[in-house]
Order: sequence, then structure tokens, then C-alpha cells
Amino acid sequence: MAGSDYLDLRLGEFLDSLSAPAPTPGGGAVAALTVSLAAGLVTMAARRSVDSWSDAPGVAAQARALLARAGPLAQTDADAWHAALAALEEPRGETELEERLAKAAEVPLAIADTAADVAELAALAAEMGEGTYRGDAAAAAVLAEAGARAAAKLVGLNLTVTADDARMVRARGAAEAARAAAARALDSGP
Amino acid sequence: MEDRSRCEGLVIRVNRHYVFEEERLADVLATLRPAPAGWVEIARELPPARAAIDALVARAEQDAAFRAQLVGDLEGALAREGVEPEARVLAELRSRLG
Amino acid sequence: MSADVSDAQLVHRCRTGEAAAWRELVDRYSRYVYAITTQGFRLREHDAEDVFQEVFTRVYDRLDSLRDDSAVRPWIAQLTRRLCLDRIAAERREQPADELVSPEAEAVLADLDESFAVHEALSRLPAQCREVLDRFFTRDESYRTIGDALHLPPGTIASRISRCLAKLRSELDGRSVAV
Repeated sequence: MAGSDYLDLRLGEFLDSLSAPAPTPGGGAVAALTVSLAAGLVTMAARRSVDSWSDAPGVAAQARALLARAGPLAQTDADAWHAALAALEEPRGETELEERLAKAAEVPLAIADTAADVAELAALAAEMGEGTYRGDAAAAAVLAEAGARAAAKLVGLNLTVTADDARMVRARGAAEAARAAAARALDSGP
Repeated sequence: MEDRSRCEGLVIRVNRHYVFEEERLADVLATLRPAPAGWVEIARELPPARAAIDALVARAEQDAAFRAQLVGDLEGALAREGVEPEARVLAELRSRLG
Repeated sequence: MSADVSDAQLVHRCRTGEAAAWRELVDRYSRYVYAITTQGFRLREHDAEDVFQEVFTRVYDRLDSLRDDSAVRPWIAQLTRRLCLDRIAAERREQPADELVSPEAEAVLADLDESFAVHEALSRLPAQCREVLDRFFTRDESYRTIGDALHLPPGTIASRISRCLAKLRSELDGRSVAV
């Protein structure tokens, strides 16, 4: 939907927009929102754990910060992708094309980094949080891992990124960190 | 209540529903973000830039040949004084030279 | 921000021509001035940069006129507000505005004063706490980036941040807590 920020849409409107045969919102936007949702779950779990976990307030604060960091990246990703597509479709200088494509890779990289952090916090909450909400924290870790892997894939698909590019190494590192955190979260007992 | 603040090109949404004081402190911390490094560096280097301008202007007032040379190459003159020939510094030097 | 030197001491040292003191003054107030221009008055980047540099130029030129050295912060705030309003008026080709700031902007400016106070409290914490809190909450750095910069395992950063936030809270509350 041109002119609207995804975060201003009703959920149903966003789902309609997602399903439409248009390039955006696409995988990057959904990855960002998934990470943001996961961060919301961690915030909730931490807020419900204050009686049993002294670090809960600090974890809630970090989860809120990561939620705020990830959410807007949905729109940012779509905007960057639009700009890159426009540069690909219209004749432009090499430099501008490269710059737009590079920018389009930076956003999923930021999503991957944020996802890794959310997964880490989720794993902490799954281990240390109040029993009733450890399942929610574990779900958050898995969702964050998914966001990290999806975002890392998108980094890799960018035309300016090669396999041994520093950005790809960083994206793979974030996906691996998220995977390890999600594994810890799932292994945590009730 | 939601508050949108535009900062560094990103829209940062702050939902001010806090459960813990730590959450509120985190938001408060986050409102003072670093200024762009280049801006800060120019401001930090104001005293040596000002001293260099003062020295160049004083010399130009005493030496017409030097003044002519200076007017012809402000950037070079500043660089030789060890001062980054940044736009504001150049503007001040031009203004002082009249 | 160095917690050891008060504003009054810093201003005094700036007046004696101490370059390091001037740089410390800029470091201490650069975020504050930047926030007033971009969040308080929503200036565009180019205008915010001009105002930012003009503020510090005027501070440098007029430091001798400051009557109460300990009041440098409200003095800088007022100077920044004035220059922002002038810039907005110039943009609209109006006469320079009186001190009329929207209620929304006033609320933001009040929040920034509290933010400055919290950052002052942050400066009194141990260096590692200052670093992890600043890097995560104001620079949006990831746990991995913070860990690499501070030579700490990334898996420990979240817990450190939690404990340092608790320490910051206690610092502001006037109590002490072990980290």
C-alpha cells in the first residue's frame, strides 16, 4: 500500500497487502515483523517473571528496544527494495545501481543481527523466566531464528554480495547464533 | 500512548506503557543518540581552526603579497596550517578577509 | 562524559584556553544539542547541522559572558532553541519567532533534560556498564558487535546490560547495588 507505513496498517490490511501480486511487502518485511513479534513475546515473558528472576526488568527493557528496532525495518526493507528494483529496471549509472543494491542488502543484515539478539534474549527467558511463560519464550526463540535465517538468505541473494563478502559472513554468523539460541531455548525444561 | 520520533532517518516508535522503571530508563537513555561523528569533530576542532584563521588573517593584514596568495588558495593555506578546510571554516576566513 | 569534572570546572578550564577541556565540553553536550535540533524542533539534517555548528561557535565565542558557570547546560539549551526558532522562521520567511514553542516540542525538550540527567548518572557508573548501556540503547549495536568491541563473550552481554540497568536505576535512586 503506497504511502502507508506497515506499522500503521491493521493486521488484516497488512496480510492482504502481503498476499497481493506485488514485490513488497515481501520476505524482508515479514522477517522484520516476525522478529518484532518474537521480541514482544520475550517482553511479555520477562514482565511476568519479576518475582522469580532478578534480571527480568533488564531483559524486558532490552526486548522492548529490539522490538522497536526490528518493527520499522519492515518498511525500510520494502523502501530499499523498491529503490533497488527501480534502479534495475531503469537505465542508471553503475554507481547508483550499486549503491541502491548495497543499501538493499544492509536492511536484511540489520534484521538478521536484531533477530540473533532476540533469540538470545528468548533463550535466557526460556531458561530463567517464570514457568508458565517459558513456552512463549521458546516460541519466540524459534521465530527469531526463522527471521534470522530468512534475512540471511535475502542478504545472500543480493547481487552485490558474494559468498565470502563480509556482509555474508556477518549474516551467516547471526543466523548461526540465532540457531544456537533457539536450540538452547527448546532444550530448556519447563 | 504512542509517540513517534524521527531520528536519524528511522521512525522510532516509543510505546510509553512501562511495567518496570528499567524499561523507562532505557527509553530515556535512547533519546540522546550520538551526533554524527563529523559534526562533533568539527566542533571539537574549533579552537585550533579559530587560531589558524586568526594567524592567517593577521599575516594577510601585514603582507599584501601573502594576502593575494591566500585569497587565491584558501583551502591550501588552511591545510598547511593543519586545519581541515571545512565549509564553515572557509566561510569565516573569507568573511574575515573581506 | 567524564563524571569527575563539574560543568563549572569544565567551563573554567575552557576559559583558560585548555583544548582538552573544550573537546570535553563538546563531547558532553553534542548529543543534547543534536537531540534538541532533530527531536525537539524536527529540523532537517542540513539545517540541524548548521544550527549544531553555530551553537558551539557561539558557545566558544561567548563563554566569557556566562554569569554562572554551573548553568552552562540551560544556557546551551536556550541558545540552541533560539537558533532553531530563527532557522524555522527564516525558512518560512517570517520574522524571528518569540519564544513560542509548541506544547509538543516543549514536552520533548523537557524529556531531553531528563535524558541528560540520566546520562550524567550513567557517567558515574563503571566504564564497562557505561559502554554496554550506551552501545546497546543509544547506538543500536548488536550483542556480537558489543562483545567484539569490549572483548566479552556475546552470550554474556544481555545479562550485563540487565545488571547495569539495575545499577543505573540505583544510582538515580541514590542507593547502591553490587553488579
